[in-house]
Amino acid sequence: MTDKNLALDEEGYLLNLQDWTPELANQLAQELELELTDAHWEIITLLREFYQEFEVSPAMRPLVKAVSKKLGAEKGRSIYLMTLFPGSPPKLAAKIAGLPKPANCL
Amino acid sequence: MKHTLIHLNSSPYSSLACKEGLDLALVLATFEQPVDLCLSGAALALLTLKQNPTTEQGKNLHKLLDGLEFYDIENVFIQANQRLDPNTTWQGIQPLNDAEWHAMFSHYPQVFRF
Repeated sequence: MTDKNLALDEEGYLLNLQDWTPELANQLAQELELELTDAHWEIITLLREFYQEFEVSPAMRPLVKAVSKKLGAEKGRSIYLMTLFPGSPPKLAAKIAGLPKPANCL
Repeated sequence: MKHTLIHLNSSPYSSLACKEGLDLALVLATFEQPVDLCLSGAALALLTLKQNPTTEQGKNLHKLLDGLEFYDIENVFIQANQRLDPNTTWQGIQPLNDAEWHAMFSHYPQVFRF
C-alpha cells in the first residue's frame, strides 16, 4: 500500500509532483496490478521528461508521437502502449509517473 | 473537418484566458481537428524565452510552444510589424504582413478569441 500521507486526488493522481519516487511508482503500479519492466520504465521516464519539458501530460496521440520520435516507430504505436498500460496508456502511465491526469483524455 | 483559429490576445499570466485558449487548442488537436494559433497584443509576451512564472501565476505556458509539434499544431502566426527581439523570442512563429493578417480571420470557419 502507498503511504497514507501522500496527497492524491480523487482519481489517485499525485497532487504534489515532488512526492514522486521510483519506489512510489512501483507501489502505485502494484496497486494497479502491473509489474514494471524495463519497457514500462522507458515510457515512464519519457513521460516525466515530456512533462518537465512542456508542462503538460500528453493524451494518446501526442504520446504516440513522442514515443515514436524518441524510441522509434516500432514502439510509437498505440498497440504497443496498450500492451504495457492496458486500458488507457496515457492515464495509467501518467498516474504511475506521478504526473497529472492528461487533461484531454476522456 | 472545420479548421479552427485560436486567437490569443490576453496576457499569459494575468488571467486564465491565455491558458484556456491553449487548452482548447490541445483538445481540438488531440481529437484530430486542425487548429492554428495567432497571437497579438499582450499575448505576445508568451513568446518571450526563459520565462519563470511564480507559483501563483501557474504553469510556464511558454514551455508548451515547443510541444505543439506533438499535437500537429504547426502554424503560430503574428503580425510582421511587431518589434520582437529575435534573440529573446520563440522561433516557431510565422509573421504575416498586415494584409495577410487581416485576411487570415476570414479563412477560418471558426475563430475563438482568448
